[in-house]
Amino acid sequence: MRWSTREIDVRGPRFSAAITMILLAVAIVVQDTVGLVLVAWQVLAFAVATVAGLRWSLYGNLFRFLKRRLGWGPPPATEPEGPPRFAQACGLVFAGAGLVAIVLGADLVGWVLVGIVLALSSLLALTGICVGCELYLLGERLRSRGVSSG
Amino acid sequence: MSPVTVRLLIVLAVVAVVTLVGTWWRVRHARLRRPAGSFSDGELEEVGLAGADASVRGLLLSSPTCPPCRAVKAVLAEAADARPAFRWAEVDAAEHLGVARSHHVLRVPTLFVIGPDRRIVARTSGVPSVREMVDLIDEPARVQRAEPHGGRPRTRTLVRDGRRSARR
Repeated sequence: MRWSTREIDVRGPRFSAAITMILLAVAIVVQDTVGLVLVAWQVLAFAVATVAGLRWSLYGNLFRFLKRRLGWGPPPATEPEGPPRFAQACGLVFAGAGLVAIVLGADLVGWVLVGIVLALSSLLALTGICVGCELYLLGERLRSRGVSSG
Repeated sequence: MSPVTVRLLIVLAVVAVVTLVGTWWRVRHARLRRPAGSFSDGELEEVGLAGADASVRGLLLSSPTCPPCRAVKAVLAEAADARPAFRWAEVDAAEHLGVARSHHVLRVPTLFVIGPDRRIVARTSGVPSVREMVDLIDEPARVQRAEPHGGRPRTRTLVRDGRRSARR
């Protein structure tokens, strides 16, 4: 999987992760229909960012809007889009599987999967560590080993 | 306790544990470590840092998509401005897997500060300050002051693979 090397503001993914964290935390606590709708919304957000790119990311656009309105200034650093987009894809897989599990009645499995996404998004939001991004880089390193030795 | 309270506590516990583990991980990797070990002549040759001169060398293993790597590079460049004898190179870890493996490099950026005797002075996966870098560069000279070395012309080598850097 290789996406564009477009550069993005490093604060964007962290901002998005914070929204994801709050949304999923509320979803896990309240559960029922409201919780399910929140998870479904989050799956949609992951899907948009993964398929259409971070340019179309729902939270990314909210971030850019607030950045303009509140004058958060220029990015302290930029990063390529690939790793955070891959992280969104990881979120999509886990949250999507969780959603399907809950809909099919496997509530515990489903909410544990949602809990994994909560844990990883809070890790990014609160400490800046993006596990999905690290996985992408690891994959890239392994792949380029295949290329250089082949 | 109602189920909602239990779930609230679970969520808070998960977030708290994740924050603690994440902070510990960051601190651990950002720390400057002083491992034993040295680079071979062949390895230094491979990354473009060979040479019999008495300079301290910096080797940064990076990857094309790695924001902290850029920050480390900026620090290295500034350190080289302050200490012209300091030579440094940046290589893609994926292109030098032998070096990465023999020095147990698991993540990028990993920076090695290598003394004139090819011994590792320090390593870190964090972003050191320029002050720290300059102190490390001065360190071997402080240790063996009996061996004076004059200021050599600045020879900063920047080794990068063409194919990968072209993507930037």
